[in-house]
Parts: sequence; C-alpha cells; structure tokens
Amino acid sequence: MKRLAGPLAAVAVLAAAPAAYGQAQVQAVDGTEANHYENQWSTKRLTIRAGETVTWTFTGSTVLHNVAARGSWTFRNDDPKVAPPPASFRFDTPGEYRFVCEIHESSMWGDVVVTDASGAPPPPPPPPPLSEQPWLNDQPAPTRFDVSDERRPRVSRVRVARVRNGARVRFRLSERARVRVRFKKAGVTVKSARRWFGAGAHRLTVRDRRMGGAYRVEVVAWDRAGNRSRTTRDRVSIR
Amino acid sequence: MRNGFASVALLCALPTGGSTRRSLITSAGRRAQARSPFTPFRRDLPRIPELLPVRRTSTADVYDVQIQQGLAEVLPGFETPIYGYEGVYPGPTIRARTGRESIVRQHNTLTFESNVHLHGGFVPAGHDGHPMDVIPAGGSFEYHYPNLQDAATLWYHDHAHGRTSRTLYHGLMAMYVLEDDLERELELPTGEYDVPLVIADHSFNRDGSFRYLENVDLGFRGDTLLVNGAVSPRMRVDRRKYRFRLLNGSNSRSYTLRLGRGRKMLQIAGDGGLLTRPVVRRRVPFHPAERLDLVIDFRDYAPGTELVLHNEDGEAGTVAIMRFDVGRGGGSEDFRVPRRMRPREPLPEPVADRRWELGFGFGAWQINGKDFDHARMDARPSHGTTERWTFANRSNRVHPMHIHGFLFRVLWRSSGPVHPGERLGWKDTIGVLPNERVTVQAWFAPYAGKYVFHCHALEHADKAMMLQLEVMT
Amino acid sequence: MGRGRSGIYAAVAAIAATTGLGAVGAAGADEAAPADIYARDAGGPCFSEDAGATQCAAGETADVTINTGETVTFHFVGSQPHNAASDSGPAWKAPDTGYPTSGTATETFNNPGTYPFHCEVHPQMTGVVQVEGDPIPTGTATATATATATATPPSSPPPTTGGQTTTPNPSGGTDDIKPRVSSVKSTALRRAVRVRFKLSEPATVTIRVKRGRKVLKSARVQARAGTRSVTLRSKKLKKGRYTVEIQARDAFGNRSSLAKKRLRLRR
Repeated sequence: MKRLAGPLAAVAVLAAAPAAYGQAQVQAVDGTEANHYENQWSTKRLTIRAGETVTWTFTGSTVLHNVAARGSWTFRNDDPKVAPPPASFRFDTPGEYRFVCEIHESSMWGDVVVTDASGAPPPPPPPPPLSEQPWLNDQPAPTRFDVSDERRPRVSRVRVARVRNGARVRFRLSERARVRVRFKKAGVTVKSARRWFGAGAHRLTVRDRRMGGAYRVEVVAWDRAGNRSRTTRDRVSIR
Repeated sequence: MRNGFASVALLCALPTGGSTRRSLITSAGRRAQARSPFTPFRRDLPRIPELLPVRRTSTADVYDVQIQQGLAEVLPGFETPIYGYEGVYPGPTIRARTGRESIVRQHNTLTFESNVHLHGGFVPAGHDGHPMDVIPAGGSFEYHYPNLQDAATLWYHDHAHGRTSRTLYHGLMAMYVLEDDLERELELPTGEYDVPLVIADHSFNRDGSFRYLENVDLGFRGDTLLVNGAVSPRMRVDRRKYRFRLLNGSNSRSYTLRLGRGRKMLQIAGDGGLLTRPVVRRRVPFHPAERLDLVIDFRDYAPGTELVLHNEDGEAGTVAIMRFDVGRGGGSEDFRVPRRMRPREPLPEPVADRRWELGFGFGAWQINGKDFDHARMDARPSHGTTERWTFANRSNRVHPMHIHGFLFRVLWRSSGPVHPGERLGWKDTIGVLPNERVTVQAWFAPYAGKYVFHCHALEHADKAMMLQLEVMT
Repeated sequence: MGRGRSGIYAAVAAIAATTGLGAVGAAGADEAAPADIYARDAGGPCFSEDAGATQCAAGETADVTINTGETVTFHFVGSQPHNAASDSGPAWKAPDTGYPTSGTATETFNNPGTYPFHCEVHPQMTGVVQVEGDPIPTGTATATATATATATPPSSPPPTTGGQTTTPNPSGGTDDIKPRVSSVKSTALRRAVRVRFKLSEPATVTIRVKRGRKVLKSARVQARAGTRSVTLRSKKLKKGRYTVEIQARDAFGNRSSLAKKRLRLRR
C-alpha cells in the first residue's frame, strides 16, 4: 500500500494543483451560462523546465479562439478559429511568459513559468510600472439603498405648572421637533400652541385671560421627517 | 511622483509612532489614506461645464472645440490622462435650441484621426461623423447641426473607424442638450434642477490611469462606476422635482436602474425626446448609448433621507451609481409634470421589411454575415419612407443597435410587451437582448445620403458590426 | 446552439436546391472549364461541385479543373457564413472580406498549378482547384464579390489607416509651462520655520532650510495649485540666520526658479 500511495499521491497532485509542474498542456475552456460566458484557459499558471514544450489545445470548443503571446516573446498560432488544431511552443529560456486569446483577452490569459534545468524558479520579472499594474476596486456593494429617518422623537419629563392667567409646560426632547401643546376641557381643545424646538429641555408658556379651570394637557412632537412621538398627557388647573 | 497626493506609497515612507513632529501630509491626505479611493459617496457630483459659443449670429451659434489630451481628477488625489473635448471628461455640454443652427468647429490636436458624431441628431450625411469621414491629426472640420428636430438629450462623441472603443473609454464624449418651445411651455425643471448625468464603467491602474483590456466578445467591463467623472458620487438635493438627463456612456455595459428600494421615477423622455405622457418606472433597463430623462420628486422624502440609485445587474463596485441626499427646505412647488407632453405624430405606412441577423462571424461580429465595408451599401431606403427593420440576435450578448441620422419607433419585442417608456416616444438606440428579436419602424427623413447603422457596444462596432445604408431621394 | 454565427435554419436543404444557381454546370471533375463550387451546410458543411445535391456526402470535397484565365465561382448556398481561402502558395480569398451567407464570389486563376483551399470558418471544408495551361502574364488572381454597385463614400480625406488600428493610450499631454512659486513668506518659530507660498499648478515642492551651504532641514511636499503652508521643525534650528529655498517641479519635469528667503530665528 505504501508503495502505491506515492505514485497515486503524485498523480493526484498533478491533477489537482493549479500550478502544475511539468504538465505542458493548456486547454481552452468555453464559458457557460453560469459564469456569464467567460472563456478561460484550463490552467492560468503552469511551470515547465527550459527546453520543454507547451501545447495549447482547443478540442471541443465551439467558440472562436486562438493563442498569442503578450510581452517579451512572440507567438501566434493563427487567426481566431473554431476548434483549431493544437499549437505548441518550445520554451528555452527561463522566465515568465504571458499568453492570451486575442478575442477574449480580458479573461483568457495565463502565464508559463519556465525554470532552468535544475528546477530553480526563474528570476521574477521586473515589476511592471505603476501605469500597467491593475488597481482593483476593493469596495463591496452597499447594503442599504434607502436610508430614512424613522426614529420617533421622544418627549419626556413633561411637567405642567400653573402661572398667572395660563400654564407653563416643561419637557425634554430627544431630537429637533415641532411640539404641539393642547389644553383640553372635557375633550374639547380650548387652547393650542405649536413651536419648533431643538433637542434638550424646554418650556412653553401659554397665557390667556379666558383660561380658567381644570384642563388636560396633551404634548405631541413631530420631527422633520414626520415621525410622531407618543402623546403625553397631564393635568393642570388654572385660576 | 506626479500622482498620489495622499497615496499610500508616500505615507508608508514616514516614520511611524511616537514622534512629536507633525507630519508633512495634510489632514485631508490622512483622511484620504484611511479610505480607498473607490469608496462610494465620498465626492459630490461634479457639474459638467457648459460650452459657450464664441460667436452668436442671428441664426446660428458658433462653437470652437479642441479635441485634445488632458488630465482629469477621477480618483481623489490622482490625475488621469484622458482624451477629451477641451481636455475635460466628460466634455462640455452644448445647449442648443430648436431652430437655431449650431456650428461646431472641431480642431483635432491628437496624434491620430478623429471625428465627431452627434448621436441622435438629424444631421446631413456629410456632417454626421461617418466612420470614414475623419479629421486627420492636426486638422479641423466645421460641423453644421441644423437642430431642426424636437427637443431631446443628444450626445456627441468620437466615431473614427476602429478607434471608438478606446477613444470613448478615455473620455471623448459630451452631452448636447436640445431645447425647444414645447419644453419651455411645459415648464419642466431647468437651471440647476436640470442635471446631466454621464454614467460609465472604468477600471484603473495603480497610478490612477484608465485601464483597458480588450474583449471582443463580451465588450469592455470595468469594475468602478463613474458619474460625471467621479466615483459613485453623492448629490445633495432640495425637496423638489429634479430632471435628470441620464446617458449610458459605457463601452458595452448595460444597467438596470433602481432607486432606493423601488422608489418611483418618472420617465418623461427617451432617446428621441419627450414621450407622449410620463411613465412611472421603478426598474429601468439602460443600454449603452441610450438616454433617459427622469423626473424624481424629492418632496416625497423627508429631509435626511439618502436614496441610492443603483444597478441591479452589477456586483461589488458596479452596484452603487450615486446617492441622493435629501436636504431641508423646499416643500412647496407649483410645478406638476403634465399628463400630456408631446403629441404622437402619425407615421407613413412602412414600404419595406428588412431583417438583420446579429451574430459572431469569423473573428469579428457581423450583421447578416457581413463585415463593415465602406465600399458597399447594405440597404437603400427611399427618402421620406418608413421601413420595418427586425434585429434578430443570434448570440448571447446584448447588442444596442443604433441607426445614425434617423429615429425609429419600437413596434415589437419577442421577449415580451414593449414597455411604454420605449413605445411612447422615438428612439435611436435599442438594446436587443440575447436571442431576442426586435422590430422597429424607422423613418428615413429628413436628410438623404450615406449613413451607417451599427451595434453600439463599442468593441463590437470596432470589430466590424456595422453596415451602411444610403437614403435615396 | 452555442454562440452565434448567423443563424441555423432547419429548412436549408430545400432552399439550396431551388436557388437556381449554377447554370454553368460543373461538367465533371476532369474536364477543364469555368467551374462552380457550392458551399453547402446540410450534412456537412462542405464544398461541393454538385449543383443539385441537397446534402453533403461524408467527406465530400470539391476538386475542379480549369484552364488558366478561367474563373471559379463559389456559390454560398448554406446559411452559415463561409468563404474560400488558399491553403498555401499565393494567398487568395473568395470573397476578399467577409463570410457571406448568400450570393457568389469568383476567383480567376492565371497561372497553372494546384490550389488547395479551405473555409476559414469551418476548416474541415476543403477543396482543390487544378489549373492547366499556359500562364497568362497580365494580372494576378483577384477575387470579386458580387456586391451591389459600389458607391464612393462622401468626399473627405481618406482614412490614414485601414483595418486594424491601434489607438495609443493618452499620456496626459505635454506641458512646457514651468510652475511658479510666488508670495513666499517665511515665519520664524521656536525650533521651526513656517513657510507659506503660492503655487501656479500642481507640483512637488522641495523646501530647504540652510545655514550657509549646509542644509539643516528639508521637506518635499506634493501640493495643488493655490496657497499652502508647510512647517519644518528640527532641533538643529537654533538661534541664528538661515536661508529658506523653495523650488517646485511639476509632473512633466518642468522646474520653477529657486526662491530664496532669509530669516532669523531669535529663540
């Protein structure tokens, strides 16, 4: 079992690893509906030794493809065709070589890494200038497309005190809002006052010579977005 | 280093921590470093400048435009080299009036040939920007636009054969707004409430320049959305109605526009001008080279609301288009969008039917199996007649088909009923979806001569998806 | 299915049989006469010499013989795009450009020899044209497409390039204008110098604080057009007289003139 495991493991590695060593065949893969018809190569990066040959195959493809070199080497199999015959190129010099399909250059590209005879990796190519390095958009899509103020203002610590010929209402607001104070006697609104207030503690004084007797006081607030607070009620009697 | 006033590379060179010395980078630079330049809604919407005429005669306005290289600040802190009209991206808007001729003198200071096509305009054949009528490098040409048509949102852009996918990507496009008396009577929003929006998708390199990768099949797809040359900007709006003139200036990306969580947008005009009545839209398909005039009433929203106009077909950086921040103020406005806008004029009966198969030939896109050949006429309609043209899409890519110099009505779509927003007005660009057939009725008036019609996915148009037509008198 | 070439219709065979083309019948592969070759889809696609057939036979190819100076006419009776292109030798294509789905294209051969050809879209479609006789000196084999009468495009300068064009990326243009540094004011602080200046265009500004010829503190800042102030701090800036030098360099390498200011630190 142990002896079998070795070669089996090696085969498994060759089949699965994307950076396959020694494997010298690249297959054109047509896009499917699932990936928006993006055509690709079967391997994006393959490593071979100097002197070995890479073969690009197009069997089973129904789309026009070709293979061409980009960068410091020259190779072009033909004009784009449907399922053209395989094309090969022998790489003698260590380095990294980019190949593309000329029609689908933005998605069908790959690199051949050619190591020297001993297997040492080639010297990395000099980094391209900033004007050729992509800067990908790293932002995710926003999650909220509709942000509106839906918080209701809060009116708290409402206290009504009697003053001469009227009443003074003290309250506290959570956000800038328009406050309405109503004085009701037996359900009928006798006096009403409305004013804008900012957040914080405020007082509103209402005077009227005709006011007298026991009232129920109602305080409501609306913020700029129209959210309405709860109605707070209290009692006061004015002489 | 030219670029990156607050770039990461510059800041990494500074000593870190513990120093009492003040750094040499401004606080704005430090703030910019903390966020990526692609963060949406950081910049306010740039307003496109308007081009002023150099001379006004009693019948015409004369404009002088240089087609030149320039630098635009697209990513904050970076300068992006562009090609632009007057060196700006997007180019300056020309506001014209029906009945007054516009004479635009274009001077080509680039190193290669260029020309200008007024997309959607009724223009005589010699001034339409036929791909073979080019202004050589260093030359000039005077374009005469009679402006004898209904008010519409047009745009002008480069149309040199084989070059459009790169020149428009690098910025050679601008708006051309045509106004007439009917729009003035209807009292649609004007002035600062009439906002042109040029939407385009781009990709970038590390130094801030535009990055272009060829893909003849799908067309170019960028990963960032720019509106008026800014990355997903925000716009503070008053609580009143605004008229937005949207232009899809992408090379080949189609959008599906949606406001917020499905808020109401009122479409009042399409490619060819006002519709017969406004159409409520909540989800709008928007194909390259199409124009949409949308009236959005921000009175329905409370101050502090933020509405994101987004693209449902996008992902990651191509979802958010722009954000509207509803401000205070406003609230009362007399203007109401009229129920009836432009009356529908009757068309003569079609005299011919033509069918155009859109597909991928050998290494290039084709219409009816033919490439663009400037020595061959592919259709010869008669002047003043209408014809029914059917575009049959045999591929799985969207093709926005556009006819130069003439407008058409959309009659039928095989994928479903024609939306009122497309049916009730004139169009000059129609997005034909994969495996769909669309029938339009084109009216070959008022000018005769040689024009072209083509797919406006620029990579397709450059790789030969264009045919010629000659209107015979 | 799959990706689109121009349409695949089911009833192609019936149409092909009734197009009435090929009036000049290919009178057998061996007799030299102007020849007709049909590009057919059904059963193939293939090139066929048979005018009346509706289907391609398995492995069918076209093999015609003509005399020098005579013409081979290719009839496109399929619905898929086809053309005929030479395999080797002098390059020719019928038609010159495009892949028609209807009509005809011709090719005239003036020199004897064997001319194998194939369809560029469907490489499995092949054929051979054998040309016999004496070479005809005038003219070279040209292909003409039966297009409608050609009309010249509107008069204008002819395009400077045809076919594939490469559009260069913009480089931001050239700029010969030197940036200008003006309104330079320097203020003495405790162990620091604050320099305020005005720039005419975006540039990289180098500021140096010198005593005599020795540079005690320098700073390089990227600034936009407008007024900007930079503070240089250093323990080395003790009491004394100093010279502050400013120079700006824009993105295209144009340098401004050197601006100098003398100041005295009192503390």
